[in-house]
Amino acid sequence: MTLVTKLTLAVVSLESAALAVLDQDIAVSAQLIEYITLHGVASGLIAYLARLFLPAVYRQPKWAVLGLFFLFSFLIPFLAGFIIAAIIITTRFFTKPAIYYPFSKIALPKFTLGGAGIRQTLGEGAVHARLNTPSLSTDIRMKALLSANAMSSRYSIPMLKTLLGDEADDLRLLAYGMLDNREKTLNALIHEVLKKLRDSTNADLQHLYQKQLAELYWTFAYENLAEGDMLNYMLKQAEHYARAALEIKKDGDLWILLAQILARQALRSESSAAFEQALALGMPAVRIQPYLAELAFLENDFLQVRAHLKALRNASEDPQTAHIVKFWLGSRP
Amino acid sequence: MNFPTAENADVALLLEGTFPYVSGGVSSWVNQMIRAYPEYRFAVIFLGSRPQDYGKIKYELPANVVHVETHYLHGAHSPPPAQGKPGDSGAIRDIAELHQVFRRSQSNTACAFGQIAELLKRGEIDEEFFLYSRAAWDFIRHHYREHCTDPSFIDYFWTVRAMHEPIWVMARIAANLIPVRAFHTISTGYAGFLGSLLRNRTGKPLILSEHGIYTKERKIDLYQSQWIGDNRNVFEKDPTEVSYFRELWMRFYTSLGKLCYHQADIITALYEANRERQVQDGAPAERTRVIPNGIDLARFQPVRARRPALPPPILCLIGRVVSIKDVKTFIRMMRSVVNRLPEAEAWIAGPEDEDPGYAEECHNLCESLGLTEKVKFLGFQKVEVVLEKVGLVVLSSISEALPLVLLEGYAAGVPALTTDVGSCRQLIYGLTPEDQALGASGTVVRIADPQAMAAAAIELLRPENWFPARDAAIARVERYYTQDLMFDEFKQVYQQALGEA
Repeated sequence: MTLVTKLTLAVVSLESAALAVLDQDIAVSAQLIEYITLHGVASGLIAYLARLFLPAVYRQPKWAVLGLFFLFSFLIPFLAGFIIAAIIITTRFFTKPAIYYPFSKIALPKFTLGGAGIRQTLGEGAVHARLNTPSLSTDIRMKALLSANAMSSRYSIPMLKTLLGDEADDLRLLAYGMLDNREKTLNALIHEVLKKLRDSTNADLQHLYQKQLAELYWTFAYENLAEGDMLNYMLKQAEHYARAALEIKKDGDLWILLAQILARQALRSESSAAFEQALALGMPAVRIQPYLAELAFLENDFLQVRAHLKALRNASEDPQTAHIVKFWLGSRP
Repeated sequence: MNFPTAENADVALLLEGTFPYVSGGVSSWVNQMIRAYPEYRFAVIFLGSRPQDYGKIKYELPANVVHVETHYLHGAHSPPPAQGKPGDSGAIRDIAELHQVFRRSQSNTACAFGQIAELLKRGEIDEEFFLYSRAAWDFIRHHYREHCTDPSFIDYFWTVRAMHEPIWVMARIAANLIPVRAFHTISTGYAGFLGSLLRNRTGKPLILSEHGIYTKERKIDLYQSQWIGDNRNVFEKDPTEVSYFRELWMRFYTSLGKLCYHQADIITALYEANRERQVQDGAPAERTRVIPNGIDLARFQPVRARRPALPPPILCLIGRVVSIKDVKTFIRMMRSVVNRLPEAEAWIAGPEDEDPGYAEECHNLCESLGLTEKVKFLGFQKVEVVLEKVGLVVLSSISEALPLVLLEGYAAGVPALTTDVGSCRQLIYGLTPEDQALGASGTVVRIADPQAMAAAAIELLRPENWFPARDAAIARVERYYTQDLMFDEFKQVYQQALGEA
């Protein structure tokens, strides 16, 4: 006899006994206790039995399933049998097989942020290409130009300057506006710092303001904002304030800046000397050697270029410099 | 000041930010035009931004100006007392339709605008309706949700309110204006909108004479302005797009322009490229025509005799000290010029009160470039007096139309150095083959290039280059740009508008 048959017989016997108790001539409370006990045990067996008939996928969570069937059969005697049978038939024959994959595949969500929709960002090359193609529609070029705003000024400003001669009025004017804003910001800062410098008597503050002025004037050169005589003027101003600040205090960073300013004015030996000063003040060689190598290159002294780059062989983490070092030193020790 | 008033006039000139309160090329042109037609009685309707932005009038009013009104778009009027009202949903439907038309770039606004103008005329939409009605509030909320990409509703709400404020001012002007036979606006923008309202209200013809392109100049301001907010965070920002509020303002002015182009009966431009731009912006091509500026030769011819024999190394920028003139490039140019030609001087002859902040930046730039001795700010000057003493007229503007100062310089025998804007190339090198055969009357360089400008100035000041340029300048202005030619053409325009043709 199988377990199922045995359990079925047990259920039938227990329920019959429970019904028989109700017919006995004993006290009601005793009758109730006996009935509940027999019916409860029968309900437990029904729950166990019903769970066995369920497809494996519906048998979990175990105690919840057992509890549900138990409550059905306990609270709705007899009628629960039909309900449980309906559940078993439905789950066995009328549900689609659920297949579980370790990773589920979902559709791509529609990606929107506010009302902006899906955005396109353009890289430097894409901006450059669009701006330099006058045959493209003004709208496309306008978008490229606006993207240039998000780029570093050093790279965007030469592009903006090229656009000043463009045929398309709107582009030309927007490019002008962007350049003008940048210059306006720098000029306002210079004006402000100059005023502070004029009013200050403290040496530390004077050093700070002069250093800031050197950096601001240098920015015109670094970002390619100034050209020709304006560039020379800005470099002279930057040099003047850098030297004035260095007279007040030793400053390795400022020596590097001064060296760059001098290099831009083609004063190479003075620039080298300034870099040496920075090294002497403990500025890291990794920062300075590339500049020295560049100066040597401009002097056509290629042996010196190698000598300076050797110092960077193991130190350079910057991929651009690393490529240059590899190119110049090759596999030599 | 007491201005003349009259019961009626022939032509109402609708003037935004110009004659008689602001001096400059456009104002001089208006003055010239009024005096040219003593047979017509003019009403002058001046639209300014705020009362405190203007001082006394800069021009003596000609005798045929019989009626003058001054109105201010901001700050001169307090809003009506607040009281809630439901608002008419039918009016909102008409407004929504007009907004739809504005959004579609190619649609004609005439029909939808006609309905709005009618509602304004009947008083069914007024300032109270816009400020306090539930319908207007719901409309603004709906549009914010539908279109605004900026997260701040508060900024959106106040931007929309500020944008519409002048409309009620103009509706009031339109309702109270004296009867005239034609309206003549010198720009699109607010004056053009007023013209459109009046055209709709009275059925009298509207003439639009644009000097620069108003919409374009507004766009320059908007691209450069710092006051327009952008509340989007780094994830919401699209680097290829301008901020929503900036775009909203641009669309507002574009829509005002489009309205005026659609309503105007006659549209004039100063040169062909501007006429094409007007057509591109919505002006019906058949209503457009080109009428170039012209000047009074007799006023400037005597100056030639008073000039020194050799060109003095004085470079003069005649114009208001405002950002569109790019005075800073002129100053930067002087840095290079002075390096090579230490005796050179730069004069800036024009008022500084229109944009005091910009004027201060120019002074600071002179100081920071060590040019305080070399660059002189002369303020407003009589052009003839200045032209007697200078070697070159320089124009460093980033946008111009057909600048009168170049023609005045030519007539006084002074060649010009200009940026490549507006019709400057045509004025320097000639338009037609016969015009070009006269030779170059100066040099054109690209905008914002002080280095190129300095090199060109030094070259042009050499006598071997200067004298041929001067001769070409005199020949060109005498043949193509006299005021008689301009007056004849405008006489036809007025006759057509007033039904006298």
